[in-house]
Parts: sequence; structure tokens; C-alpha cells
Amino acid sequence: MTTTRRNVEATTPKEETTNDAPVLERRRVRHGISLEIIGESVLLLLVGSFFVYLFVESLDWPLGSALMPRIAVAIGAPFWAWRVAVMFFQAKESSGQIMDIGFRSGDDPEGELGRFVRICCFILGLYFAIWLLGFHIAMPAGILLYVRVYDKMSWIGSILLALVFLGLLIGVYDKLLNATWHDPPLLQWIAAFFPQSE
Amino acid sequence: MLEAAIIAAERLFSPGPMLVMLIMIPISLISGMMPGGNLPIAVIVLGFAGYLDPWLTVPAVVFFLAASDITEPVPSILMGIPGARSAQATILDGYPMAQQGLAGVALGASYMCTLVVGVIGAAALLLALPISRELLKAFSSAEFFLLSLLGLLCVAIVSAGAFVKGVLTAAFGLAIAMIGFSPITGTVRASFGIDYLWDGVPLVPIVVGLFALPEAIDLVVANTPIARERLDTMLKDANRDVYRGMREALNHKWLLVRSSLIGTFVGMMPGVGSSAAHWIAYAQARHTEKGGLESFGKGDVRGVIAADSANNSVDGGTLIPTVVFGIPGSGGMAILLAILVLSGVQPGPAMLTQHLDLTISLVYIVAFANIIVVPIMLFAAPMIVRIAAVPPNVMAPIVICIVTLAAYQASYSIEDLFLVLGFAALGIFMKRYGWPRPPILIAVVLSEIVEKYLWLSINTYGFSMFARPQFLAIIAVMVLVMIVSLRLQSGATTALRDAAGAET
Repeated sequence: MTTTRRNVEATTPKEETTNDAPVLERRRVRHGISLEIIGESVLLLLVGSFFVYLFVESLDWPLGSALMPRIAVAIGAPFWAWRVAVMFFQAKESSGQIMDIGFRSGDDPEGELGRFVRICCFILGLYFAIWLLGFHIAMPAGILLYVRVYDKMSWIGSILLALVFLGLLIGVYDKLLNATWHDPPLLQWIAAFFPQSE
Repeated sequence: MLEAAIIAAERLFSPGPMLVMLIMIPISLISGMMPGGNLPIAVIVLGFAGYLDPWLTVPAVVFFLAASDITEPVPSILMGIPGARSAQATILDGYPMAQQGLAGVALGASYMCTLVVGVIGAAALLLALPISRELLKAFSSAEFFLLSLLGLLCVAIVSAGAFVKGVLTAAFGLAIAMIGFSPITGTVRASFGIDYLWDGVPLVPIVVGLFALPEAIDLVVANTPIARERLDTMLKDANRDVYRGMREALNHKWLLVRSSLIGTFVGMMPGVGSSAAHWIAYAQARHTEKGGLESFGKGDVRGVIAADSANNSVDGGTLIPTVVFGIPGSGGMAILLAILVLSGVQPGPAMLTQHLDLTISLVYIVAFANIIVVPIMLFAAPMIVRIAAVPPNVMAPIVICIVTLAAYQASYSIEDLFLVLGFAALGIFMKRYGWPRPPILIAVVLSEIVEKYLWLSINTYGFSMFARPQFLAIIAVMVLVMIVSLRLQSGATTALRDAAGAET
């Protein structure tokens, strides 16, 4: 795309630049079961289990409550069965645009996997820290550490960014919205060890 | 009517209401750009409703809701994070455009739609006020049920090419929405024995988990800024891109008009409007625009135009059932309703007689918000698009923290975060294995309306609802929509197959 491109080109979407299918095709596990089938099996198992749970539970509910859940299961079950058939019996299904954006992968699967694990660990660590230390400590600290370690931002820049975020927390959420925060266990333990005098 | 219109203008454009609207400008700009919705601030205004004149509180909240709606496409387009109330369909083409370095074009088109639809739509709404009341009186719960069902039907239309997965995920979304208290009998449903789930699954953690976190992860995994192409030119030509987007919106004027009419009409449907309108408009555009079946969802500016035109015209439309029937069309409208009641103004037919000036002022406020806020956003757009160029390792932690806060706002409970993690895992799997996520969102958003109106219709009419001409007319429209969309899909599939055959 160049700056001299005609306006009409803005309406014409570009072809997908990369596609993860060939990469995935190469990643086959033993016994010929592809990652695609394993991943989709997990999804189908989750959806199917929830349908069964909802239906069994709905047997004990009055009709007013049970009607819509049963309709949901009745709509979903045949399509679930069809999807299972498609997956295991390689039945033909037209493939097309799914109205969603998939992950895009390039030619560095190991690096992508490493970054995927890294960001997932960051999210889990951040959420654990929020639970343990509270939002006001965990979030600015999380941002500071992440941009310092992975973006190699300067200490001053990292600290400034963390302070801006802390300012947002205090200014918007504390002062403007009067948000109620959860009580972090660590602070409770500290309070238990060092009880305030009356 | 003319006299009331003049009185409304005189009262609205007096120092008091003008001052509160000016105060609301920066608040709405910041709030609209924060993912997770803007209702908490509207609730703050509610706190003053008992003490202040309705001519101060009503302009404050309506201006705030309309103005923050204008800024809502920013996170959708630039970060792939749908807003809580609307701009959900905007993400489908807006975010791919940002990835292609066309964020300025998408924002320009979005704001131009907002301006045109906001001003012209408000004028049209003003003229339609008396007619719309008669039209709405002809509809009952049975017709409202069908219209909400039409929103769900869009799942099938929007999932063209992945019909099975689309309907399956929509059914899964409906099933998820069944968790918690039944609105019909009060029975606690499928809560897994967890007290937190008694109130159901809040929408914002679903949105954050399904959409925002997987997009943030994608950003880091790809190790590029959001704009993966033409990064330099995007920054250099930001002004030109925004201008080009504005022209694109005007070039597709019929799409803009069509989508805004859909938005206004569906917006008038109590409870259905803000949730379904943009999806219906997006689905119709995908099927009626040339090449839409192939290009929508990959970064087609027409997708942004359709979704945003409907989004913005909904604002005007939802005002009608709220003030005329006292039935709020969205969370924001529910707060407006509460403000009216607290201010001593009883919503209902009297709003078109006794308080006609106040009703007309609502339309003025929506138009005024567009006239004031859109130029600000257009001026700021070249700076806003720079977000798309922020390095992924800076962008990702900030986005993750902001959306986490948005999710926590849902019920101020730490369990919200566990829910986010659960839906994030689901979203990652769905994104990775090609399952469309929007149908879950559509189903969750519309489920309560569908369930409520279904039960009401059954109890009120039973099978006799099929004898209602209005009911049959809407069924005919739905069947027509299905037939046309299936035919178009079939044609597009054949064309794609032929093209693939020609290449090999």
C-alpha cells in the first residue's frame, strides 16, 4: 500500500498476509491426530458437557425457567452432533469466512510459542498479584516490570508509565467512580500481625 | 409541536443546561474510550436527580450517553476490544483495518457516519415522533419477541460460511446466558453451586475474556504493533487517512442511510434496540453490498459504516420507547428513566403532550452532542491512530490492565477476574481453532429479551399470536431475510469455488 493509492482501495481489504494452517499442518502429533482435532475436541467437549448439564438441571425447574434453556440445548445439540461428525468422519463442510479474526502466525513457531507462554504467565501472575496485593500495587508494578523487562524501556519511562496508571486508578476509579476494591489477603495478614492500637 | 420545539430550544440552550453539557464533554470522551461501558458515570448523575432541575440532569445524562457512544469505536477499531453496549460489530472490520495500517480511514468513516446520522437522524426522529407512537402501539410482546429473534437470526447470517459453528456457538451463548436467576420464575439456574453466579454471568467479563485478552495475547505473539502494515505511512498520512475515511462514508451514502434507518427503527423496539441494531445493519450490509460476503470481516470500510451508522442512530430511536412507554431500550436509557421519575416527570404518553418540550430537547441533545464531539474526535483522530503504532510490549500490559479494571467494574467482585480468565481460555481456543466469537456475544446480549418476550407472548396470546397480522408480517420479513441471505451465500460460495478452480 502506498500513499498514492486510490481511495477505493481503502474499501478493498487485503488478503490475509499469513495463515497459520500450513504451520499447523506440520505440527502433527503421534498417531496422526492433528492439533486441530485435539483443540476442537476440547471445545466440543466443553460445549457438549454444558449442554448436558443444563438439560439435566432443567428437568427440576418449572416450565417458565426451563423453556429457554431447553430451546438453547435443542438448537445447539444437532449442530454439536454435526460438528462432531464433521471432525471425526471427515465429512465435507463448506469452509468460509467465520466473521472473526484468528491468531496469525509467521515463520517463527518457537518464538511465537515462547511469547504466548510469556504473556499468559504475565496475565495469570497479574491476576494472582491483584488478588494477593490489590489493584493499586499489582497493576502499576505489573506494567512497570513488563515494559522494563520485555520492552527494555528506561527506568524513568517505566516508572512514569506506572505512575500514570496509578493516577488513573486513583483519579478515575477512586475519586470519580468511588470504586469498591477487594480486600487483599496480604494486607489482612499484615494487619493481623501488626494490629493497630486503638 | 413547533411551539414546543422553540420552547425546548430556548430552555436547552440557556446557561445552566449548556454548562452541564460542557462539563460532560471531557468526561464522556474519556469514559467512552475506556472499555467496559460508561454506565457508572451516568449513575453518578442519577445521585443528583432528586435535588436538581430535570433540565439540568436530563441534558447531562443524555449528552453524556450520546457523546461517549461517539468515542466508543476507538477501542473497537484500535484495540479490537468491543464496547459493552455497542460498537461490537465495528470490531469485525475496524480492527482488521487498524492491523492493515488503515486505522485513520476507519476512524474517519466512523466519525463521519456519526455526524451525518446524529444530525440528520435527530431531525428525522423529530418528524417521526407522532408516527412512531402509533406504530409502537400496534406492536405487542409477540412482535417484540420476533424482533429480538431477528437479532439472533443475524447469527446465522453473520456466520455465513461457518453456519454450523456460528449457530452452535450462539446456542452455547444462549446456554451461558441461562446461568443465574430466571427472570420468569426466580429459580436459580445452572449456577454450579457458586453463589457468585446467582446473578448470572455479567456481560463485561465475557467481552473482556472472549475478545480483549485474546487480542492482547495476539499482539504479543505476533510481536508487532497493532498496525502490522504501512506503519510509517499510517503515521505520516494520518490526516489524509482520516479525510479519506470521511469521504468513504459519504461515497457509501445509501449504505449509511439504510443502516441508520435500521438503527432508528430497531432502536425504537423496547429492550431490543441497542443490542441488536448494529448486528442487523452489519448483516444486511454484508449481504447487499457488492462483494460483501467475501470482503466483510477482513477490513472492509463498509462494515464500519454499516455498524456505526446503526449504532449512532439507535441513540435517537431508544429515546422513544423510554420516554413514551417508560420501557428502557438500554442500560443508559434505564438510568434516564430513573432520572425522569426522580425529577418528578412521569414517563409515558404525557411526554408527547404535557412534556413535549422536554422530549424534543432529548433529540436536540443527541444532535448537539454529535455536532460538538465529532469535530473534537476528528481533530484528535490523527493523534489517536498513533495508538496503533505503540510497541506490543508496551501496549499489551496497559490494555490488559485497563480491560481487567473494566471487567472488575461489572460487580466489583474478585470473582469477575476468575470469570475473565475462564472466558479468556475459551476465547483463545475459539480464536485459535476458527470458531466465531461474535455469536456468543449476540446470544448473551439478546437472551434475556428473547426469553422475557417469549414467555409474555405465550402467556398473553398462546397460539393466537399467529393470527396477528403484525406478527405474520414480521415472520414474512424474517423468512425473506433468510431466503435472500441463503441465496446470496450460495452465489458467493459458487463464485469463490469457480475462482479457486480457475486459479488451479
